[in-house]
Amino acid sequence: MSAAVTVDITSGVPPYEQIRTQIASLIATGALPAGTRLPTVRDLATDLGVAVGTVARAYRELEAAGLVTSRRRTGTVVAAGGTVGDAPVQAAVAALVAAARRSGLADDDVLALVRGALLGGREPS
Amino acid sequence: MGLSRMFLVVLMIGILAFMVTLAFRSRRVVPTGLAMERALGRMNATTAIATVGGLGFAGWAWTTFPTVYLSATEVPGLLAALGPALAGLVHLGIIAAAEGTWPRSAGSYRAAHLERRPLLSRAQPWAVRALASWTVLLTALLITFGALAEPDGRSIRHAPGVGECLADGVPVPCGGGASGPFPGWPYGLPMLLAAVLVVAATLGTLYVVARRPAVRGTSPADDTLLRTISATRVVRGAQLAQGTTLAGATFFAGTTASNAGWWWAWPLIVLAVVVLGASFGIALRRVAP
Repeated sequence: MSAAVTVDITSGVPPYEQIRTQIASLIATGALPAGTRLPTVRDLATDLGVAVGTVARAYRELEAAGLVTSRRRTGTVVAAGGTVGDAPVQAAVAALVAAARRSGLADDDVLALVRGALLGGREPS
Repeated sequence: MGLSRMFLVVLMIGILAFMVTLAFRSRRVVPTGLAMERALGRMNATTAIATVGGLGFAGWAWTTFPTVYLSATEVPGLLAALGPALAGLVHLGIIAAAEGTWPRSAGSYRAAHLERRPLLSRAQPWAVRALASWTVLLTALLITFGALAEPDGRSIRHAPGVGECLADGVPVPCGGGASGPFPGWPYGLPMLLAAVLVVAATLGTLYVVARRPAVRGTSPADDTLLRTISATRVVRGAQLAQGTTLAGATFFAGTTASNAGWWWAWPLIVLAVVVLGASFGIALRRVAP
């Protein structure tokens, strides 16, 4: 299965931020492993129907965060070390998402559950 | 001019077969959804318009370049020699214009796969092999013809022992005669330039195909399949232009060399007919990934 990004033009979140967040998440979960070559700025902008500068800004910020590297010959490539968590954590997250999909939960509801769980597990300071 | 008639008949049969096959062949069934169907419909329309445009130009060139525009250039008949390549450029130009105006993603919710596309869309190997073969053969033969031609570049010296002179009423062998027209450098250089332009236009069109927006609602595999079909159709048309140019140059070189008594004339004529038939056959081949 190939990784994909979506852009909601009507969203209050700027399109470059939507692209940046999704690619960062895909790198974190390992859906985009290190060494994966991302589409060129122009190709992704064409496919999404957004300005070239929008995708260029998203790629620049990903590069600044150390998640991707850009070279003239190879283009934009996913950098090593971007994956978050070890295999059991990754598997648990995948299982959670699968269960949420089976239950028909919306993405925002899943995120609310995770945030709640994170808050519940936090030590009071 | 029996040979010229034969060449014309082969060419006309080829064009006729091409048109009939295009008109009657059934559409290839691709087991996919509406998005693929729409994309294929657009691609088929593009191919049809480009084919009619290219063949229409070729037909106009065939009837007017050797007659009305025979002396339009400094070298008589040069425009006719360039006709197939010009028709190929018309064909490629129409495809490039259509591919360059492929509909962009619209609507408030848009999606794209994170698949890196190659610099040029890849055509199927048989089409690439044909284009490469005709181009290499055309280049090699035009250089050879240029080297064989007389200093005027438009004729070839008679073979040794060909031609007789009368000395006191008695026929004796004599030399120094020449036959034309022969595709020497005055024809060869512009034809080589045209061949390079056809290859460059092909590469440019393959670049445009690779850069067009992905078809919404298709998987990366289906999108690659659509691009491969487009790219193969591009190369298929380009090889027809190069093949027809090669066949024409080889045929005229062969018939002139035959008049000049050279033994290698007939192999050239046979090669011309074979190349012409093969390039039309390849142009008719179904694009089936």
